[in-house]
Amino acid sequence: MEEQRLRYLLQQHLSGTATAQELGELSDSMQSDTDSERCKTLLAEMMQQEIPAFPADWDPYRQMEQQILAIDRHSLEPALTPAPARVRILRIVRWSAAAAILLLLGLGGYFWTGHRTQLAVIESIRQDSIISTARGEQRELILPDGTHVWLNAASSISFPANFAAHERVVTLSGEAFFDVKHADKTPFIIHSGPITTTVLGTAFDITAYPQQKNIRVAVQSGKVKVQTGNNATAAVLEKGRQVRISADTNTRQSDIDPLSIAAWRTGDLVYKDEMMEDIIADLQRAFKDSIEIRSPALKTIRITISFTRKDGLQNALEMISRTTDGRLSNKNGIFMIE
Amino acid sequence: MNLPDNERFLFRLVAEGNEQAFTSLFNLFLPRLYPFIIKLTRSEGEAQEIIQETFIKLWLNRDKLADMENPGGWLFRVASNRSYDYLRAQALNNKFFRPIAAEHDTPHAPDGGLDAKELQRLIGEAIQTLPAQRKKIYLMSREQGKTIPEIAAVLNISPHTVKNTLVTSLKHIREYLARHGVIYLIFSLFIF
Repeated sequence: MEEQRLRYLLQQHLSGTATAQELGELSDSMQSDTDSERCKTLLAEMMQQEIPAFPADWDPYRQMEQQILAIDRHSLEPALTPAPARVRILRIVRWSAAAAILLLLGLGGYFWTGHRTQLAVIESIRQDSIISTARGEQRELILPDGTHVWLNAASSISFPANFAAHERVVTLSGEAFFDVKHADKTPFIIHSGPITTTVLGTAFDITAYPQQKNIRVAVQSGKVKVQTGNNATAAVLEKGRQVRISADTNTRQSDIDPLSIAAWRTGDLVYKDEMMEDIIADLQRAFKDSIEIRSPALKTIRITISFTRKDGLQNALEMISRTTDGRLSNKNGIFMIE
Repeated sequence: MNLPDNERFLFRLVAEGNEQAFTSLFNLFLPRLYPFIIKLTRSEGEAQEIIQETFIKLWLNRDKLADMENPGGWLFRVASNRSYDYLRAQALNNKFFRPIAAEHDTPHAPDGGLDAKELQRLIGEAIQTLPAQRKKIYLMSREQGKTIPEIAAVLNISPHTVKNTLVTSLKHIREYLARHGVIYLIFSLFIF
């Protein structure tokens, strides 16, 4: 069969629009197994052309990944006891270009993690590293140049053992607050998806979660330059200013109380005029529970709300439900708002 | 497929048995594999099976990753090969014409869809049959989570030796599995 035809038939089948005859033709081709190599190559191509997306229910995959790691961990242990939780759960969820740019979202929300991590010590790290946090976890570390970083939940940062002489470069996915050590001729550069943030010496927060639609940079002190993928400068920010960059590179600057920046480091959940689906995503990272919004209309409602960790997730969700006239329920451990 | 630096770095770490790097790669590639596979299978259960097999194959063949020109591309090939097997099984079982297959009667992988628990048991046996020193080194790496340099230091041998031992042990495990009917995990190099 011609490659064109095979590609066409596969695409039809995948999108569910194949006619009975087309299905028959594809079925015959598959059964005969003659063109298997070509077919496999086509499938690989088609796979890579899809826009990346997360499964709605992430939990089975978290378990799966831990199970896979456990698969060769023991020699003939009788029963399968779940592997003890590892202290560091690395999670880099970051896109490089590919088909679409899933832009990373910034929330004006700051959240707090339930459990102070076992690592009360601030780590000072001197090797090529990728440091990550799981949901509900925070970490604090010092980079090789003395820059102080607070990493929020479900985030990761990668950096080299030693920074170059002319520039210091790190990569961030998620949210982190940076207190950058001033170094006269050596700019500190953060890559978070398609956005590049350059600083000389300053304290600021970047929120760039892969699943969400905007990136946000907020400056507590000093001066920061934010650029989009093609090196166009989106903003130059000083103390008390923040910028949100959306997927279509729309930028929106506004003021922000410098003291409230990265309040999650000390524990508060504050959302100003944020969309419901973003708030819920934040809460899921902070509390590790699963929360679903069942009515599409609810997802894009913007609300202003704040609470503290002591309120607990149940109360927080009840407050949110009341504010949005939604109804909160819990089924099999998953919270649902409709 | 051009690999960005940090992905290449991750593959290198996984080759050394670094679990955190595996988790990172898993989270990085899962969203790239999932959309196609769910479209193909229209079943969460089937999708999970394909994805699980793909990553198991990655983990059990990790020693090869460092030498690969394009480990990311290889991962996609593993997944698409498995997808091909799925499609072919559907065709052979005349399932093409059913709009959505019911969960319980979707065909399984040619190997019988060995589940993780069964695999773990077999691998446990395989490890048990490793010669003493190799077994010790392998378990230091897996059970104790020691890195190659750490193992070398404790045993007073070169890291190079440790690495070679781990590679040999992985091969041993794969061969043991193959002898017990699990052949899909045998590493195959695809020519691009």
